[in-house]
Amino acid sequence: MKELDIFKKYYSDSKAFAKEAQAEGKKLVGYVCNCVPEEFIIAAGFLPVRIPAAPGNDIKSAVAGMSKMGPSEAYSVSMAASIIDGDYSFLDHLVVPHARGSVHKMYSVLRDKKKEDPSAPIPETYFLDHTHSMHMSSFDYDRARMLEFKEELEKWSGKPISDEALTDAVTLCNETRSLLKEFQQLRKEAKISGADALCVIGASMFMDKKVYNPLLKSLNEQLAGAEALPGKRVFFTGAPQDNTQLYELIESCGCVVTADDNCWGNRASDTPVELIHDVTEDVIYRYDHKTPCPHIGTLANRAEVFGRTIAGSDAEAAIFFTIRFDPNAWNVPEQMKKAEELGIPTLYLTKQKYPVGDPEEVKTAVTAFLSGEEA
Amino acid sequence: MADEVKKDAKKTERLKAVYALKAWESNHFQELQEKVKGGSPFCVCNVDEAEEIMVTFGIPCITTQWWSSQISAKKMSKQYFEALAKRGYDMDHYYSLGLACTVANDPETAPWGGLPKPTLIVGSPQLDQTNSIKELWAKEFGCPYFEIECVGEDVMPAPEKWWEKSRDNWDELIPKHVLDLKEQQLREMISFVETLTGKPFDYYEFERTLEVVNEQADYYRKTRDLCAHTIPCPVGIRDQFSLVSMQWHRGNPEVRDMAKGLYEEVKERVESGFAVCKDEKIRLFWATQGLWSNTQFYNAFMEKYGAVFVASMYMSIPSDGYYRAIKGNALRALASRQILLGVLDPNWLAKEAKNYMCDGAVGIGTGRGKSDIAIAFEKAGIPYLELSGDNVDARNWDEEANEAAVARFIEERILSVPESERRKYKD
Repeated sequence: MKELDIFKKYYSDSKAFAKEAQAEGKKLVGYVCNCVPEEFIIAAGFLPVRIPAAPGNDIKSAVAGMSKMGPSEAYSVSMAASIIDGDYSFLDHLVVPHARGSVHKMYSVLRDKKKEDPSAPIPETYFLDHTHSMHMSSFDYDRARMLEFKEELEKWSGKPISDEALTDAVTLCNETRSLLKEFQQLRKEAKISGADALCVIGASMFMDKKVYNPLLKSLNEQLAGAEALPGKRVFFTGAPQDNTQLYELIESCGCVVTADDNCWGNRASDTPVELIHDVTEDVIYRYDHKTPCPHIGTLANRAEVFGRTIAGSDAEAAIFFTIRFDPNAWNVPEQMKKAEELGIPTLYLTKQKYPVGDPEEVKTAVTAFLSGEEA
Repeated sequence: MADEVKKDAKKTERLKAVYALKAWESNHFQELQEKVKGGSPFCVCNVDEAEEIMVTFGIPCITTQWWSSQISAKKMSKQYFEALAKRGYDMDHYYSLGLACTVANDPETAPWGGLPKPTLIVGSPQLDQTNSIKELWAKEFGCPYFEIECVGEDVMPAPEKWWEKSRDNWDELIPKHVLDLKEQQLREMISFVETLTGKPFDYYEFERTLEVVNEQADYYRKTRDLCAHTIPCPVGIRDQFSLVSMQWHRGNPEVRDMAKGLYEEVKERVESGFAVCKDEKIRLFWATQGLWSNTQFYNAFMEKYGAVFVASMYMSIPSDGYYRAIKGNALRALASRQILLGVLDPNWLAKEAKNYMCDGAVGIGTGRGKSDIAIAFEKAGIPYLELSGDNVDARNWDEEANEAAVARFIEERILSVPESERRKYKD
């Protein structure tokens, strides 16, 4: 399938599409996490490019001045290191939201690095604040920050974002989400491996959706006629998976990761923007009410969302995987209960490294789990 | 063992205020238990989330940090964390000791038999896990949980020399929208507590509570200034650490009076020429969180070098951070302090080391390169040493290696410089 090859190409080199677009004159806005409204960025005439970590990157060159990251997930440290090392100096702008703690610490690190050395190869960085609590006052605060962000984009582009342009952007992003929902259904039927699915989903965050959507439509049509892959259907939850290493390891044990709920997987496309009122308000509402990240809102709410997600996944087993300092870890016990109530056996791999520290240990545990033995 | 004996011999006379505080806390907790038995509400919160509000309501508070320190003092952490792990929470445990104690549910081992059921628990997303921990804790007790947003220092850079404005012109330091949010959320918390307990909130009483907090902060400031400007140092760092929890009981006139007593006792010491180390030659600042697992470490350099750890952040936080002029809006004044306490600002720490006339500073690094604190101190002209290890987990602390590192630092970075050339600070 040539579409899959294209997605794999742009997934494995996440900067490639953006650089090609830049060569043709497109301005680029990089962003971290999935709580930055792509619709605003697109409507302002920029190409949004999500920034993944760089597993295995040598962070030594970037390490000075990163003490603010403190005890953070290696995932975020790696992301920060890539940016400091200049891997994203080609971006016109960078947006870091107030997401998980290590991400907003990353903003402090980037800000201070740039202040200390204005020539540092770090793009102009904008902080998009966002509350983590669920009060009405929090929503009002977040709404105001989103409106400020929209104004900032207008400054960057030098022109106002029209309702028409924003509606077009919403329609485009909603089409991507809708196609990804179809893709998730095919994935659930094991028509594609979990590792390949990550490439397909991830490419949607690195490519222009106008190019991406027709390719995904075509891939979905081909997958519909494909044979299901053999092996147990596994639901994966826990730390964000911005690379295929772990899924490849898990699937090498004879199963298929047919569903997940992390922000580089199925959660990336969870809810569309519903066009009900003013389009700007509708976008803001979507980002405030999308499926919560593992540190937003309450444990009870997240467990309830998880229960619904896994119940609809048709999975035969669930793997929970958290890395050190991972806020997901506090969700796991309640969520494991939800899975077990549904009769889905669970495996929990905790305090793991990013990237995976001991592949053989993970394979042994997964193999034992899939065969029904104790790990 | 020989080392322990040697260090014990170096123990200095302790302040009466330390024992007075311990006695007050013990009495306060037992009174709280009695009151709760009699149907009184009580609240669990972190040290800078809700205390002044609850004191105004007449609702006693237990702060998470204080409760954790009591559990740690009984050396029950390992056992309680094991109980937590059995529930599936086998992870990095920052801030979860109180929850672990409740989950272990062992009145025989818990301090004073354990916490009674709170009327509510207040928390904030200060760290990713803090909300989850408080929510689980409330669920364990079967009480409500109120979350208050955490906006502030992690996100905004502390304004330059914030301490010059934080007392009277705090509204110039913090963006209006951030202050608006915090003030609004404090109002929401007050409404929640009013509904929950049926108690009305008395705004005038709240102003009086903040005035007591300000008076208490002023006594700390005067005490800090005495300690900082007196050579040789009149109060050892161990005592300074032991007094940390005094600042966690804010707004209570009894505690303000204890702060006054502390000031008077230190003043007496200064007037009588009391010295922690009579042969003080070198003054050191401890620049990161306290080495709670081993406070004897700080005394190890007196005998050989006359090197005294004269200060850390703990006496300085209430001195510079807590006082807020009410300026006609007490809730906004409190909001400003909750947003900007300044404790994360390395330039403020360097300012304090200069204030204490230190020759050098030592702290624990994060293992992620030269820290912001190290950079700020070196920029201020203060030699800085970064140790490796963990300040609370004794398993990750190499005593011998770190003692040797401090000794080398004293010899190579301080003693190697002529006395007349030391303390040449830069702005």
